[in-house]
Amino acid sequence: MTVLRTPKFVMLLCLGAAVGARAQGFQLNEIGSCAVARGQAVTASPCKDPSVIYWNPAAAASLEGWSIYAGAAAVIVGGGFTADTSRRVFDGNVPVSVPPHVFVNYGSRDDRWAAGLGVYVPYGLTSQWHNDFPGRFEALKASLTTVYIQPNVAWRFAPNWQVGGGPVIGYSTVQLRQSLDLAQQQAQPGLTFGQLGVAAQTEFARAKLSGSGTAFGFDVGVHGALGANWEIGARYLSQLDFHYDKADATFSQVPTNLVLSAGNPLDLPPGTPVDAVLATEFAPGAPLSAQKVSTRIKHPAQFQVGLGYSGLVNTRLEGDFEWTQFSSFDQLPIDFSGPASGQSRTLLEDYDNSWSVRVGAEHAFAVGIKGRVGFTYVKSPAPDATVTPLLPDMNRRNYTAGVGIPLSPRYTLDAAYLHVDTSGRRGRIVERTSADETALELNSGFYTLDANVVSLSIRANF
Amino acid sequence: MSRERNLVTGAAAFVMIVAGAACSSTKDLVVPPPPVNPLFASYVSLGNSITAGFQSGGINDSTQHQAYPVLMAQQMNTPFTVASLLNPGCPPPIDSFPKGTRVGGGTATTCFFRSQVSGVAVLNNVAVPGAASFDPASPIGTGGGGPLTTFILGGKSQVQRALDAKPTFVSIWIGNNDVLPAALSGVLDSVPGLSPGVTAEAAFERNYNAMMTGLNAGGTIKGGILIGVVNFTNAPVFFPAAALFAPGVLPALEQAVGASITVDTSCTPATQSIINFELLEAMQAGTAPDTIACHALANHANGLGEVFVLDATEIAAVSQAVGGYNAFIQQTAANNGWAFFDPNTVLDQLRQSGQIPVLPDLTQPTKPFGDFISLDGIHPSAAAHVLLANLMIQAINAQYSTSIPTLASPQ
Repeated sequence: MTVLRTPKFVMLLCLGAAVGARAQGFQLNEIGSCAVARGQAVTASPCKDPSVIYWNPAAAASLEGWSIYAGAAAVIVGGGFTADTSRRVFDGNVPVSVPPHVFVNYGSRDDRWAAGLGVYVPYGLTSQWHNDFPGRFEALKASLTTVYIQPNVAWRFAPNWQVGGGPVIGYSTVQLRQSLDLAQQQAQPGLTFGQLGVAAQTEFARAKLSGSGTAFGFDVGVHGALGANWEIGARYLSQLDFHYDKADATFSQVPTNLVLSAGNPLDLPPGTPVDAVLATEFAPGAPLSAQKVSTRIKHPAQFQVGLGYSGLVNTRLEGDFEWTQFSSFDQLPIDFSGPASGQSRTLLEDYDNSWSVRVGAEHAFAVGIKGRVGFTYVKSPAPDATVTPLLPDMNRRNYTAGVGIPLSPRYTLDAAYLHVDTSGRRGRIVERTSADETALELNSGFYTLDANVVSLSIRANF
Repeated sequence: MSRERNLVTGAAAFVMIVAGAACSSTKDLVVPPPPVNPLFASYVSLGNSITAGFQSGGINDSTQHQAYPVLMAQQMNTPFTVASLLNPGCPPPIDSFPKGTRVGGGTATTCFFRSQVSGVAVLNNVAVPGAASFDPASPIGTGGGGPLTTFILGGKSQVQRALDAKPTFVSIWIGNNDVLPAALSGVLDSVPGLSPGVTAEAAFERNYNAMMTGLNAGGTIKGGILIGVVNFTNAPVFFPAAALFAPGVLPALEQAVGASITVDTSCTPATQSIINFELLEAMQAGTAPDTIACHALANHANGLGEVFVLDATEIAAVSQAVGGYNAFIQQTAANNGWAFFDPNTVLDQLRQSGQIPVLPDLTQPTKPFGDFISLDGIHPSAAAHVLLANLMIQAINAQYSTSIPTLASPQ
């Protein structure tokens, strides 16, 4: 009989998976209500507001005088997970998030140059599940908020042709709450509690990790006219490489109420509560004591190009193609600097580059009100083996509509509604620990995802 | 203008095609085929070594998957998980009788762990070798299962692990260890270090009721089958003392022990006592004198005639206890509207037909007890599990008017 006298606890944690996944599927395009209403197809025929600093920095040169554009979008995410075997449905529990945006621009009266500043949230949102969700060991709650601050200059270098751009300063905060599965922990090197009989998905602790990082990049664009009715535009937002160094990792014990039986392999007295054995692992200096952890998340580069048409009366049409370099998100380093430093590792994500096709239209009615509609098809970057509770990403169909209502000669209210529709996708609730593990082996259920977004912005011209 | 409109129309058509393609992804869940009857949507088995898949004095992944509840679940067409134990086992099964060598060269104290992949959240076979009637409702237990209790249940009781599976149907075969250890020892009263004694009927009923109450508190069980306790005095691990006087038997036993055996005068050709084969192992190990007595001898040391021996009075006491247990189990089944199965009927038939031999065939080291009893002389073989599964299926079908197909009989 092999007797295990001294359980030697080793922590396994999936921090990086959570954070990284956030930066992928929760790319936010809810920046400016006019752009949202037009299906975000605004690269070539931009909205006449300072949000062009984000969408196409070159087009800012066409804005005369001082203009300010500020607002926010309420993002309501729904969806859930249906388990294969039990067919039980676990609904998501995502709180409403409201990413804001503020832009200010000054354009010369002769349309030759402009300068401005944009503050917006291109990556963010929160995923959250209820306490009984079996995938809570991947993520119970995860949130990412990344704010980009972008000074911008634009210059008309030829009639009807402008270039623009500016540096981007990014500040990002991440937070993860994750349940820890006792069955996955090592009682001794090479031997897990699961191999001692502890059932899978036995929650014994919750981890909370929070940190922040800063990164730098740039956003550039070009815009021009091709005759009287056609416009063209292109824009490139560089990758921002965030290092979340010295993030805080804290752990709280969750009672398992397990009891060691007579003749147990730990050679402890019958009736010994497992929780009492585990309690020492949370003491200062123990593996589950508060410590520092670091990771790195590359916010991918984006490129989009569009073609606008204004040959119809009072109407503008546009089609865009957008490409995002999600392939940069292939793996995530997880580096503990405390008692769990021996468990530092690299997680596999293997994202692909993604793309979207966007179309939008705007019609100006006689009373000055503008009506807008749009549609976007988004190809998911997540491979079949990386559809997780953190981000059950899937191909999306975005339907948008909105209005622009002049409130006075100086003020205009833009409102937009966006509905995200998906067909659902198979996914997993367990960690992928080896590149040899396939989606067929890992995926154990079906994720659904939908979202509704209501966006309001005020534009002021001076 | 018309060309421009065609461009716009074409772009719109492209988008609609892309959108339509997205709508074509499947929503199908990968679900197992439905069970033969919704009653068996979630089947859980409770019990002891027989239910866990213990054979030939050991248990491993192979023997676990030969156990009757696994076979019944296959026939029910319902998912069923076991606490898979790494080969060669915990302990590894005996592979040769009477030498007692074990699979992989292990010993009776060798124990490998659970396989990593068996660490499932829901366990369907929660039976633990060594469990007695007290154990299913207690996470601490009597200790009869040793480390296997932890390896299989992981800090919970059988009832708790069963309820984790939200069972719709259960089978319970518990109580064998309320008599077997005492019977094997030859001492029916509790003697620390020697025998746990036979559980009193009142205590047995109290334990059984606690288990049933716990299970029914889950509120998900719609049916079940209760299995009676085996009267192990008919198990081939016991041989009749009268056989010592049959030609060739004593020399064969002496050859197995490797020493001359003295038969005490308490043994006669008419004696009704039965002797546990473990006595021979004790002789081999030098922990028992090379003498066989057929009832307890006054003024004699080493438990001669008492340890490993059941006389007629003790056999009757064991049978009476088993009869009392089974009457209660059968009544409990009736009270719950569940099926009941008494294994003693078929075991007696096999014994009477000679398919379970009275004496082991020592010339057959891999099959000394016939096709239906494994090498420890107590636990059913793989073939017997098929037989038992079929008989239980028939009992369930009769009780619930279901149509679980039976298994093909082993060749």
